[in-house]
Amino acid sequence: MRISLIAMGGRCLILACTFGADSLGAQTGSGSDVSGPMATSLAGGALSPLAPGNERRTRASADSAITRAVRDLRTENGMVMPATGRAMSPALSMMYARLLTSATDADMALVEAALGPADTPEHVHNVARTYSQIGGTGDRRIFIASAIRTFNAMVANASVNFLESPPEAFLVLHAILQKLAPYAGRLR
Amino acid sequence: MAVLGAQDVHALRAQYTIKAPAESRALILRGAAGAASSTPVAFGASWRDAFVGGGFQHSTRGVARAGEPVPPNGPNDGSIALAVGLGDANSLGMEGVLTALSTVRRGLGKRSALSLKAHRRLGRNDGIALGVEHGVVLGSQPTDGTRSWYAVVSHVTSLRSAQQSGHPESPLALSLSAGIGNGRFRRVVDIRHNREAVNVFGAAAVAFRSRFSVLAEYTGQDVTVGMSVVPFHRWPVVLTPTLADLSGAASRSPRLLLGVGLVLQSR
Repeated sequence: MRISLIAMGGRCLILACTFGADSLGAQTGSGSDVSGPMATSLAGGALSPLAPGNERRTRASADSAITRAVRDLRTENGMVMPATGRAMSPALSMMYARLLTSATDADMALVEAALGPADTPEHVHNVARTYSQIGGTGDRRIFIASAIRTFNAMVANASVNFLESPPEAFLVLHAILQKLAPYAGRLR
Repeated sequence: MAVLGAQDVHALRAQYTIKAPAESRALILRGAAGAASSTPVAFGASWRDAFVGGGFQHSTRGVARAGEPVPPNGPNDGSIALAVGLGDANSLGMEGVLTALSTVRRGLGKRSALSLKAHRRLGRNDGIALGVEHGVVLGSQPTDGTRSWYAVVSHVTSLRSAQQSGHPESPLALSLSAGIGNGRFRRVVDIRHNREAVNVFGAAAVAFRSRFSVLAEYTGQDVTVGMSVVPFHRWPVVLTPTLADLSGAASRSPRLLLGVGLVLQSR
């Protein structure tokens, strides 16, 4: 075997190898260099998809988390608003489930109206728009992160009166995004 | 209505501000119990992953030539390894491991080897990798082994429903790996007769809360069983003690192996 090319650029690496009539070679002596713990095993399971921290960052895990969120919203399964400890209202749950799966302009308008008292219409619109993109095609980790960023911007700009007694639609959205937050990607 | 002070307003905003872990890069200081000791798995280091560690054998193999009886096991032996990752396992990751095969007796770095593994995740729970162990040998002294090419697939799955709990960390997980390789993955009889051949290998492990696992593997030559432990919750140190060569096919008596690794991941 000959390694004929190794090219690196940013996160990409290309390795080209040629196979020749290279002798495999005998295992000489005790073979101790190849009969101990394999060097790549020293990391343990930290590089496995199910390891702490790893599972959260894969595209597939973000997709699964969104699927679970939609299912839970539709079935009212365990969706509790952490801010109040109360269960979500079925109507709001369904509204947010629809926005994740088949967002229409009417759905967007419904959500914006429900969040309306936020007295920051521009931020409300951005939140509804980025939230509706979460279920879209592409890297959903980034969509989640984008929705969280716009939600946080809305919180940062909302009036004190709004935050003291927010509408339930706001609390439901907060609960949903909170649940998806571990699967968010890094925005560039 | 009482007027809120600045601190109260700040606390109110903080209550509703969602923290996305990936928004800020952080060092992950948590290890996970391993799924193999003497065989490769299809998951590897990506960009911003690195690990260092050491391997120790209480006794080395007594390797027999063709037609000769298996001699007793030899003295202990150790190695030190440093690994870094490139690329992204979701598309193509590359793990490079530099192993100092000589340490105390013959001097650190007098005999070293570079191992490479190209790996890719397939979906949520699977991976595939192609690698070469000791692909490039560095130093003046020859290695006491052989270059070994391999291809391996791995599958991990939650045996208990972590998903339903909404917690991504699996409480009980099963790992399975299977592969083919030449070099040290050959059968003992092929090694003794110095025959070029390809053979199979595999590993199975069950991990509990990522902190402890039991594992069994077939290296192509013999059977290894053992465990892997993360002794400290907030320290990414992994200990993997195993008993190798249990069947007696490769050496006269079982041998104790110990792997110690420290993993650093930045996300």
